[in-house]
Amino acid sequence: MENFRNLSVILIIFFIFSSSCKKTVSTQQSIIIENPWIRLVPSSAKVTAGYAIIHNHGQENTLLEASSDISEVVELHEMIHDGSIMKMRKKEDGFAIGSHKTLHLKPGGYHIMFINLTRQLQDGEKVPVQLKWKNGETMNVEFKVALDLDSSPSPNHHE
Amino acid sequence: MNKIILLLILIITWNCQKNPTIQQLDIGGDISLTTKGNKNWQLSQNLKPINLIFFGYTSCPDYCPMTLAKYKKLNQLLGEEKNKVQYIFISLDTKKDTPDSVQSYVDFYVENGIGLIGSEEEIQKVIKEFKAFYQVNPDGSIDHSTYTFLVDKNGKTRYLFRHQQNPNEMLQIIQFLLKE
Repeated sequence: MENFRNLSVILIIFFIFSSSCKKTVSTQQSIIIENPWIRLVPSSAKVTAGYAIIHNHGQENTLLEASSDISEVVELHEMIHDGSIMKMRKKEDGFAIGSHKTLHLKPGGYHIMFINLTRQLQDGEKVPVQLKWKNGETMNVEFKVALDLDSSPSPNHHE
Repeated sequence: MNKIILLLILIITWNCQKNPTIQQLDIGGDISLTTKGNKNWQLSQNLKPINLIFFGYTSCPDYCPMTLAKYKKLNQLLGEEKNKVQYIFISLDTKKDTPDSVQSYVDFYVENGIGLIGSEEEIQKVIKEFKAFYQVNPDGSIDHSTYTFLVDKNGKTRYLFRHQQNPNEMLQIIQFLLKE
């Protein structure tokens, strides 16, 4: 009986700790947004980019729009590396994600671009961003402001 | 037999590593552009033992901040030796950037950085000399080369860092050249 009680306590502690370790920030139905972050930029820069790992556990879907009050305009962009040349292009049709697929928004690839920042962002600050999906869902996600990938929240290890 | 092969491999690799050199590249040249306070800045007058040159613009949302954040990390790895290194950020956005805005952009990441800009003709001259590339798009974004050019104490281009190279790899090349 004593052993059983000890085991229960250990299990409870384990569950508390393991749940606090989860990095998943936002869950709404089939879409799970992991590790969302926005790059901290100097005050002289009027643009920045947001990144995340997007898991789609449902039907094929498309991120159509993002919006936030930190900038006048928010657009979905893609970086293309053509040899040693970096090109940035707007994704007019949004970011499509197949059923049960994962899309990485990451430096040098897809990103959410915040144009004409309305204020200086602070390191570690959480910025609410609304994501609008093709299936009609809109979700609110908090993006953490960080200088670069290493200082942003660590990736989820449950993959 | 195996021992002989092993010995041969050891001799070959030892010979290869005995005198590694980093050859001079046939690109680059002096740079004469404008820095903070609208002052002229010439590379030949301001050479440090290691000069790292990057072409970008302050409205660049992804690649330029990523590269400058990498320089910040490189500075941490360099420690005291960062005094022998300077980062030269040349803005390609002659419409929106100014000498002061470019400098404050660079200052956010590194204290040993120089922000430069010039007229379109001046920028094109530098781009051509370094065999780099840039193109301003109708939406104001700029396609540009992602290399970091390493210029040595004599003003000679010695190495092209690719964007994939991490600060540790950069550190190794820099420390090697500092020993010359």
